[in-house]
Amino acid sequence: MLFAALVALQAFAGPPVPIHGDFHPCPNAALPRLVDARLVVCTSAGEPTVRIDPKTRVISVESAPTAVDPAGLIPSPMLGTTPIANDHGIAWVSGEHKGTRELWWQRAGSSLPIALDAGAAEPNHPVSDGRRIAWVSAGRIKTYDPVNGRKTTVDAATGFHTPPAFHDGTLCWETRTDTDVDIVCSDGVTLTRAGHQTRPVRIGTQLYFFENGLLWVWDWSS
Amino acid sequence: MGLGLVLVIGMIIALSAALAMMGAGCWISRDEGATAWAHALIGGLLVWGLVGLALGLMGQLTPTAFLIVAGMSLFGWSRARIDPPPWVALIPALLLAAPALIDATGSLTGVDELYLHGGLSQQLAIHEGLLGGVLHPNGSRPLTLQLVYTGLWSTGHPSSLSSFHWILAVALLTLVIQLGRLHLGALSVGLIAAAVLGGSTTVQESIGQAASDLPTAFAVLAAMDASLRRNIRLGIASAAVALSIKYTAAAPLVGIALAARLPLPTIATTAMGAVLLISPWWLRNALESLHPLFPFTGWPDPSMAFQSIEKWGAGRTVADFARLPYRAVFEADPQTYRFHGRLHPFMLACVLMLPVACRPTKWRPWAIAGITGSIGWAMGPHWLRYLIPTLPILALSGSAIVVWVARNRLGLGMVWCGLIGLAPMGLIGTDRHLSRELKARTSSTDHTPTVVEFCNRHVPEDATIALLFAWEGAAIQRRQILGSVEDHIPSRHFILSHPTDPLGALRRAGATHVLIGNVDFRRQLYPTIPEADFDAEYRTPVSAINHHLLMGADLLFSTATHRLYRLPADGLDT
Repeated sequence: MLFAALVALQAFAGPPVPIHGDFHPCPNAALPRLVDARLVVCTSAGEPTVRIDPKTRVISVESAPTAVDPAGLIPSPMLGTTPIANDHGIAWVSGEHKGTRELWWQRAGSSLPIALDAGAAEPNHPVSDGRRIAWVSAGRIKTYDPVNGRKTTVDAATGFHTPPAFHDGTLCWETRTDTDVDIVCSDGVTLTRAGHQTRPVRIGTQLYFFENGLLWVWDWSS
Repeated sequence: MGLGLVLVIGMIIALSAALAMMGAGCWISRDEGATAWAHALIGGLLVWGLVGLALGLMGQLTPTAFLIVAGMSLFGWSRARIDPPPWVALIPALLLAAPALIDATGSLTGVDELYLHGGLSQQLAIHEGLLGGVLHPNGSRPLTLQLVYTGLWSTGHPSSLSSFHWILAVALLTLVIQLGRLHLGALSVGLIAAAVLGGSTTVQESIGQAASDLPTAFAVLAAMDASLRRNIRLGIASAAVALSIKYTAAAPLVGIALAARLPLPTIATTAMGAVLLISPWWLRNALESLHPLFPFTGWPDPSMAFQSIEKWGAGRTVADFARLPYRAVFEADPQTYRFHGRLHPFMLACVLMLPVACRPTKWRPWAIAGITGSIGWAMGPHWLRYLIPTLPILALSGSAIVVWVARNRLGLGMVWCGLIGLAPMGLIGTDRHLSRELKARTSSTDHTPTVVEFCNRHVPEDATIALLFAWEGAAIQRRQILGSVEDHIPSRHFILSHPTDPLGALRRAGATHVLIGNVDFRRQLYPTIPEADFDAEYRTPVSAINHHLLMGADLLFSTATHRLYRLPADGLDT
């Protein structure tokens, strides 16, 4: 049933097209991502100053998005990780000297963080869809809804490389086959092509990803 | 200046003295003349190198062992009858080397300091034994100077390496001045030669770093002194030390041997003596199934050359070679890899006057050694620091002629005015280099690259990091394999040797993590390599390892220049 729906979806969708411009995959794994309804990608120097409007595809170069100030977070965020904030609080990864990681959540207005995930799961790459947070845990994806405290696990097998895309409750993630990297979403959308499709960003019926150094978009609404 | 740094500097001076004493005790007889101090230092390096080799083979390169060797070196006093270097030579040498103290007492920042001199010493200290082979190609070189650096690394202050090197550089400049007076007839000959060397960016920058070119030049100059004094024993030691620090000494040493006009059996005996003293290093390589001269003879299976010499310099046609002296002096820029340095303009006059210097008996040995050293350098990649072992000989022979031409005080005054006036041309880039070092010393900001910081903070202490296309060796406080030499040959060779399963091979070689630089080989730098070969040897390894890392390793950290991966524990690759 799902397979049939998927085939139908892909049959109607146009093929992915590259977005040409002077930008590159960011060294920071937390990017590209949506900031103020625009996609933030990097310059060739790795600066996250390029913004793409998903509706008009207009590319502009602006200042880097404001990052969450890690100063007040205890334990301090691990070097190279990016704390993620939404209206309900802040999530971040801390790291120990031996390489182990913990995922912390601090509710807005509270000064006491709680550990959401730790130990052998090596939680990493927290992201938010505005309400919930999701992260990579033992290669799979876990979610946490701070409103009702509910945790779920998606059997994603995405590995450790990049954060999942998270938009309006839909997750998309990299998945490794025998030969290459493709993208799978929790609503059944899959992107399987020759070559490696990495770093997904999902916006409604648009899926942005990198392939062979170029940013591509697959828009199946058209 | 912190108490720790004062202690380290004290230790380095003590070590230098200990080296001299060891050399004096083992090598110097009672009456070796005014340069006995230099030969004692050379002898100390030789003995320490051989003792270090033995300790390394026994897996005893420990701080305690180095302390015992340093203590035992002090017994050299019992036999030593050595005059210290004369003040008239030492003080100008100290003044010329003084600016480089800014660099020498700071952290290791040069590429060669990081991947070779500091990086290898750090790994030898961590392993407490010798390393070598394709996983540690730098460790398969003769390690006479490296083993002294390894002992210094144990102090916990990486700047002790560059500070010790600074002392050896002062020793070289002192010997230059002294030999000008002893063998070329006037103190001013040595002073001018030393000023020319100190007025060259290539030398000035090298003085402040942990390196091997100036110590090699020191040993070559000591060999020249021994040759002129017909002292075979000291000649053997100097030649052996020069070659066991850097093989670029071979060309000027051949020139010295040719110029000495010794009987053939004497030359053969000297050469055999030097070879005998270096042979333990060659034997070690042979026992590890490597070419005795590995890594300089290239990598086997697939065969890869040590260096693409046509990549550097100013061309290799006959016309290019004819113009090379001019270009090497006036077109060299420390910021580019064409000559990779800068010389005082007076050096061109020194080279052009070499044919003139061939006629008088007093100058002939210097001219022949200088010409031979220069030809040897021209055959190589034209990097000016590879000329350093010959530079003191060139500077002294040129200065001798200039002083002879100038004859009186007025003439000499004009020469000095010219030297000082042209110094800014020879020192291009030095001010920028020193101000950068000074800024780094006085800045409160930590300039450690974040990927290095991540490795030192978050990679487990028992991890082994494979450095692919990365030079950062000394900065990363973990066990390492591979690292870079020249065109990242160790990385490219390893990947091409294991095309289907490079991650598994890395794992079997002991690596738990991979630090990879985002390298981009530029096609225009390799014009003589056919397109297909360039693809196969340069582009393919990079794309192959990137594919395997993407598919089979965990990306822990990335910056615009580097990525750090963790290898899967089972070593399986896709």
